[in-house]
Amino acid sequence: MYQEEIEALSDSMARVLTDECDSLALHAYMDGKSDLDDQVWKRASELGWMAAALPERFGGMNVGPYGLEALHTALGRRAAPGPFVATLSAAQWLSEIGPEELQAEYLPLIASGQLKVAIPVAVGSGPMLSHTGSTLSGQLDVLGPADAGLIIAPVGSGQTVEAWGLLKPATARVTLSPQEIWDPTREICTLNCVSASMIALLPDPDGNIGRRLQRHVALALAADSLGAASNISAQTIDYLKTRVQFGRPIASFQAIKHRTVDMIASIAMQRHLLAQGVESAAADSPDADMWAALAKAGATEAFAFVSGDCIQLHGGVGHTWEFDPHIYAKRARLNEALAADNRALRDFAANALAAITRQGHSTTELGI
Amino acid sequence: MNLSYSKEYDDYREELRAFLAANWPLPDSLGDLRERTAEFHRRAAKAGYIFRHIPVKYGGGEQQLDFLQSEIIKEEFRRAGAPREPEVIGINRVIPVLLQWGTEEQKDFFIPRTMSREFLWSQGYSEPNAGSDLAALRTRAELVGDKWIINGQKVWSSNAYKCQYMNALVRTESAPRHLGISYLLIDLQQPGIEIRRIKQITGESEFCEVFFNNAETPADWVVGGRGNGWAVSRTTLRHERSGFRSVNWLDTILRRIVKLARETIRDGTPAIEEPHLRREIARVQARLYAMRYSTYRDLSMEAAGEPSGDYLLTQKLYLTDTIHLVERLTRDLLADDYLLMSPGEGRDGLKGNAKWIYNSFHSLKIAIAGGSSNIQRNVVGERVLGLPRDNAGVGGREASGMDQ
Repeated sequence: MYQEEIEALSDSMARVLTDECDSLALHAYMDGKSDLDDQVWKRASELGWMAAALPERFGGMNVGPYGLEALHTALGRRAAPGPFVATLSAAQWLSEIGPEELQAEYLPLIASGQLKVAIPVAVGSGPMLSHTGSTLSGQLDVLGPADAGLIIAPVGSGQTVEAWGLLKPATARVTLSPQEIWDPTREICTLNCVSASMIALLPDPDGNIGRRLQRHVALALAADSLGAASNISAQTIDYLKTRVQFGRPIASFQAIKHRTVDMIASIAMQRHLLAQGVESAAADSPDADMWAALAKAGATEAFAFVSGDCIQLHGGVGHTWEFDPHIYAKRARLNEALAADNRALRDFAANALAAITRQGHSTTELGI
Repeated sequence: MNLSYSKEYDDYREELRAFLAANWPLPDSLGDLRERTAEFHRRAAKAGYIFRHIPVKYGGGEQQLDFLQSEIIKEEFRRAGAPREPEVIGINRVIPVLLQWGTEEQKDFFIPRTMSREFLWSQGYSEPNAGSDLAALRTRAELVGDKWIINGQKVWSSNAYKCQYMNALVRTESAPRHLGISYLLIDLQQPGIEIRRIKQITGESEFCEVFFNNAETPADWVVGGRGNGWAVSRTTLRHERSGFRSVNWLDTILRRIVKLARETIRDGTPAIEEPHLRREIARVQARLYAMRYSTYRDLSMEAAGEPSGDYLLTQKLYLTDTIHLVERLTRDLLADDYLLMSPGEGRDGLKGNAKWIYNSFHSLKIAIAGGSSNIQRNVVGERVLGLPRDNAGVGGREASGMDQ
């Protein structure tokens, strides 16, 4: 449908990020010597990447989940720092479920890179804010930077999410305190609300709105993971071709060869699962949440496996700060833990499958 | 296999308990903890409980090799909370080498000071292009007058930045590969040596790169003769090996995991009630028991003078896989909290969950340090199964990677 636009977008992203977010730049950022996160954010905004997925009336190219897949894959490849997963997932979510006036106010700001968004670290489970009169109170961890201009948080009582609150950290009643985390390419803050007034409260009686947010975060994490896994495995394979021990490149040892193939195979299978997830989300088919859940669980686990094995395959240097594998291993572990526990996602998918088959459909008819 | 101790060993244990009751803890009047520990170690060595492989004339315990006594000592020291024999490169590696190959002068000078930890050692084996393939090492020493002049580079030398001496493998002869290598002792604190610390995944820097630029060492600080370094470096530890060390370590970790699983509340219930988690904990527990009883069997066979088979060769592979299971389990258990940790500067500043995360990243090294798992598989394949030799197998070098 938008095949050509997406390919062009994809190429341009890869080109720009290869130049501006290479290994040297990333290490300088890791060592606190650059503001690479701001630079990448600025470039992404200038080049229209932030807008691409959105409908044309908000300045976008309307390429939706396909465009987001391309962008997150490209960012993941370079382990690019910045609040892309949270902001872009929130934008897509808002463009699908948001009231007109909220869309008109916030989507153009996101499209132009002026607004960063924070979303819950755990979408669909975990702590939530409580609702009293017209204010919200409570504390939870969010994925996003301390300078996020919009926060999306679950609101409810007990174990049940009843609505989604939109907040602005404008007053002392809404604060974001940065947490130190192992993966320095992303940011997590603790959100604290004390009788905070809100921008909007979106009721979510049947959980559809929350699942839709989870769907987009899950797809973003899956794409990020597969982009990252393919790059770090390719880099590692190049290293294995040049590292000589016992008079020959270690890639010529069968034990090493087989491990590289296992890595590539695990990535390839997950790519197909993600493609199915993206297609279902773009068509907004009834099984879209299920595919997104499976794609996130599979892709993040594949990434954790691949990045961990890349450390081992590098030998001693794989365990050092100055080589790349640890950056990816840390990103992988964060991806695994974000959005929702992978076991919970698989339980969710199993229930969806059971429901569909109970209706008399076969497992090959899921897309209908 | 007999898993109980005989009367002889029960008596030995009683004597040891009496010794520990009388000597640990020592009164504060004997100095600070360091001084009290040193005094305790002197007494324990004299009584034959530590430094058992070192002759009395160097201040050792000088005891017959006895695996069961050695295990009893470890058990009772642990029970009494008494400081064990230090496990450092100098004591575990350098002293056994000197005892077997050193000259009288070398033994007299180095052994007592290494035991007292006045001399700390860092091992200089691996090089950037000689990791698993250690025989490819290129650091060179040339004899000029009464000195060796050393040039080249070592890597993965643990704690070199705070050690005084290095036990190094260097190329001194024109013969190929392992035939041209000598085992040299080198003073690290000299102008011809530059040491750089390597920052690791965890943010710590225990490993070092060591650069030699016309560094010097006395001509008679070669151990075991010129060109004999390969054999010297492979000196078997006559030292009674710590059979249960990994098992006890794993046991401690498993107990902590169970505690953490009890204390972690998810969706209103303790995580330990989740079937998935219980299965994973049981899997680790089963592996732990397998290792513990294999070690008992191994000791029992050693004590009876029977060959112990392939257990020791495969134990490290099994341990490595188990550690990865533990790492996986920890990740499952900590879930979101897994992320919110400060990398810090090493383990000391970390508390609570942060320690788990630290351990998790640290564990990624285990399959590399002390010989990569792939190389270990070659060793087992060739030595135990008699598979055709590969030039990266036993004929090469079974350990290295990181010199710990």
